[in-house]
Amino acid sequence: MLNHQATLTALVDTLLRDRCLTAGEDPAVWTEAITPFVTQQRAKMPPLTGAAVRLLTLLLDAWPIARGTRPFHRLAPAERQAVTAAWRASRLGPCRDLLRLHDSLVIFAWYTRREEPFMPNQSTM
Amino acid sequence: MATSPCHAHTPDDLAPAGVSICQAGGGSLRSDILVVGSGPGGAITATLLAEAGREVILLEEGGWVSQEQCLPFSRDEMIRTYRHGGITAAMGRPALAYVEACCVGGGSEINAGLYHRTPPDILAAWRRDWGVEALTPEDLEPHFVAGERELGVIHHPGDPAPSSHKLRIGAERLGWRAMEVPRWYSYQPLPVGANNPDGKRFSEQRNAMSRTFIPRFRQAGGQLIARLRVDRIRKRSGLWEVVAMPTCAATKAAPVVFLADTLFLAAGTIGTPTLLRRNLLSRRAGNTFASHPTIKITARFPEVVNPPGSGIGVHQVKGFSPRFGFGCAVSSPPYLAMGMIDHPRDLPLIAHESERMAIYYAMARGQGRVVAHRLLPQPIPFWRMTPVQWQDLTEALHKLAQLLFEAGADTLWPTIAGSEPLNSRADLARLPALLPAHLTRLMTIHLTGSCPMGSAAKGAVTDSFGRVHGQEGLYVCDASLLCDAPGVNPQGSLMALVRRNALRFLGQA
Ligand SMILES: Cc1cc2nc3c(=O)[nH]c(=O)nc-3n(C[C@H](O)[C@H](O)[C@H](O)COP(=O)(O)OP(=O)(O)OC[C@H]3O[C@@H](n4cnc5c(N)ncnc54)[C@H](O)[C@@H]3O)c2cc1C
Repeated sequence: MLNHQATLTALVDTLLRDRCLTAGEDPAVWTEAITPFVTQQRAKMPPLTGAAVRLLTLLLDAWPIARGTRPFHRLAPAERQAVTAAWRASRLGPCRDLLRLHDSLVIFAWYTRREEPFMPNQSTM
Repeated sequence: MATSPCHAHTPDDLAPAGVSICQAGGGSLRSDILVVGSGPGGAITATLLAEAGREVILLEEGGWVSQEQCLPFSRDEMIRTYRHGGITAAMGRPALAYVEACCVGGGSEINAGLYHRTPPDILAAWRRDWGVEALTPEDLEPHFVAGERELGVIHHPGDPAPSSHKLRIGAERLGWRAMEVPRWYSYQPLPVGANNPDGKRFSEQRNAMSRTFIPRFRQAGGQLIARLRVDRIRKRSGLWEVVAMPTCAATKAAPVVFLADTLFLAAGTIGTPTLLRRNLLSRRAGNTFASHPTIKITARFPEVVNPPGSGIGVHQVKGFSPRFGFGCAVSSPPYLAMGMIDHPRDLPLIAHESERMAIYYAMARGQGRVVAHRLLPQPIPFWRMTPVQWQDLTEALHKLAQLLFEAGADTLWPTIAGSEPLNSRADLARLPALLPAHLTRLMTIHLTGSCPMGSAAKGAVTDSFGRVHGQEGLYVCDASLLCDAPGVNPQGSLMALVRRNALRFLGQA
C-alpha cells in the first residue's frame, strides 16, 4: 500500500544517509529529528504546488513496485539509495526536482543543527 | 474607529501592546484608510498617513516575529517568517526559486538591508518607457534622504567581513570598481573578552519595519492587525469593502469585514496583482513582473574569510549595470551547504572548512507575468529571460569566477548541476559558453514590476503616483509599482516611491 508520510520519512532517511551522516551517526535518530521540519515546510507549500509534490512523492513510493519490488518506504536503505540515485539522474525534470527539493530541506536542516539543536541532548548523540 | 473584533496580545507571539493578533475573526471595522500588507511599502505608507492624522488600519497575513526572537537567516526564521516555508518558484526554463516573507514587516524582517538609491538611468528609462511623471533624481532626492535618515542607513563602522573584501580585491585587480554598500542596520561596539569568543567588534541589528515604522505607526494611533489574509475586495456604496480571513484560528474562523474610504494595497509583487486580478479591479495587473535572477558560486580561499558571525558581505560590483552585477550572499554553514547541493561529493568540506568558504552571486535581469484568477487556488508566476539576458547571465558567471580566482580563491563551485569544481584560472575555459538552462540553478529575492506605475496609454496599472487606473480611492504602494527590475537592491527605490506617493495623497508634495 502506498503511504505518503512513510515515504517522506523514508526519503529523509535516505537523503541523510546519502548527503549528511558520517560514521557513527544514527540515521534513525536524525530521521526522527529532521522529518518534522520537512513535513512542516512542505505543508506550507501553495495548494497546487503542494498537491503536485504530494503526487510525485506517491509516485516515488510506487516506482519500485513497477520494477517488481516493494514500495519505496518498505525498501532497505541501500535499495532506497539506488532509487534516489535513479531519480536524480532521471530524464524527467519533475523527478529530479522532487529530489532536489528534499535535498535542500534535509541538507539545510542538517547544517542548522549546531546553531539550532533539534533536541536538548543532541550533542551527546 | 470601532474596536477590533480580534483578540490582542497573544503571549506566544510576544506582540507589543497595540498589535492585535487575529484569533477568531468575525465582526466588522470601519476606518478612513485601510492598508493591506505590512512590508516596507505598507508600513511606510500607513505610518505617514497615520502621522498626518488619518485613521488607519494596517492588515497583515503573517504573525508578529520580533527581530530579537530569531537568529537572522536561521531555520527558525525560515519556519516563522518565510511565505510557503520558502518553497516558491516561478515557472520557466529553468524554474526561478524565489523567497518572500509572510510576517509583520514583510521582507524587511528577513532581508540583508543593503541600500541603494535608484540609478538615474533606470529612472530615465521608467519616465521614457512608462511615462512616469515627477521621477527625476531631483524629484526623489528628499524622499531618499528621508528614508536614509528614518531607517538609519549607514556604512559598516568597522571592517566588513573578509569575504566581502575578497570581492573588492578581485574587482580592483581586474580594473573593475567595487563599492561598499550601506545598510539599514544599527551597530553596537562589543567588549573584547570571554563573553565574546568570536572576537566580533560590533553587534548588529536590522532596522526592520518592526523596529522602525511599525512602532511609529502605533504611536500615531494606527491599528495593526496581524494574521488576517485579505481575500475579497469590492466597492459598495462608495466605500471599499474588504473581507479578510484569520490565518491562525484554531477553531472555525469567521471572516472580518472592513469598510474604508481609501484602500492601499501593499501585499507585495505577487500578492498585490493577485488581489487586483481576483477581484476584477485591474485587467493589467500581473501582465508584467520583473526580477533579478541570480546564479551563485561558492568559493574557497587558502585563508579564513568567513569567521563565525561575520555577517553578510557588503561589497558589490556594479560597473556592468544594468546588464549584470555581483555581490556577496549569506554564507553561514547551512547556506554554504545549500550552495553546494550540486556538488555533493564536496559537501563534507563544510564541516571543517566553512570559515574559508563564502558564497557570491552574479545577478542579471529577467521578466514574466503573474497569473491569478478567482478559480485558481494560488497565483502562478511565469518568468523568462531573453537570449541577450541569458548571454548576460553567462558572461556574469564567467566574470565572477575570474574575479574570485583573481582574489585568491583556490576552488569554485558554481550552482550548475553536474558541473565539476574549478581549481584554477585554466579551468575557466570549462565553464559553458552558454549556461545550460536545464542544469542551471537560479533564485531571486528581488521581485518587482507587477503593477507598474505610469500612463495608462503605456500599459501601466497605476498612475504615476500609485492610484490604480480606472478606480477611485484604490492605490498600490509596494515593490510591484517599480516599472522594472532596478538593477540594484530594490527596497531603497520602493521606500522613496511610496513616501513620495503618500505625501502626494496627503497633498503635501
Ligand atoms: C531574503 C531577502 C533578502 C533581501 N535583501 C534585500 C536587500 O539587502 N536590500 C534590498 O533593497 N532589498 C532586499 N530584499 C527585497 C526587499 O525585502 C523587498 O523588495 C521588499 O520587502 C518589498 O516590500 P513590499 O512592501 O513590496 O512587499 P513585502 O515585503 O513582500 O510585504 C508584503 C506583505 O504583505 C503581506 N500580504 C501579502 N498578501 C496579503 C493579503 N492577502 N492579506 C494581508 N497581507 C498580505 C505579506 O505577508 C507581507 O508581509 C530582500 C528580500 C528577501 C526575501
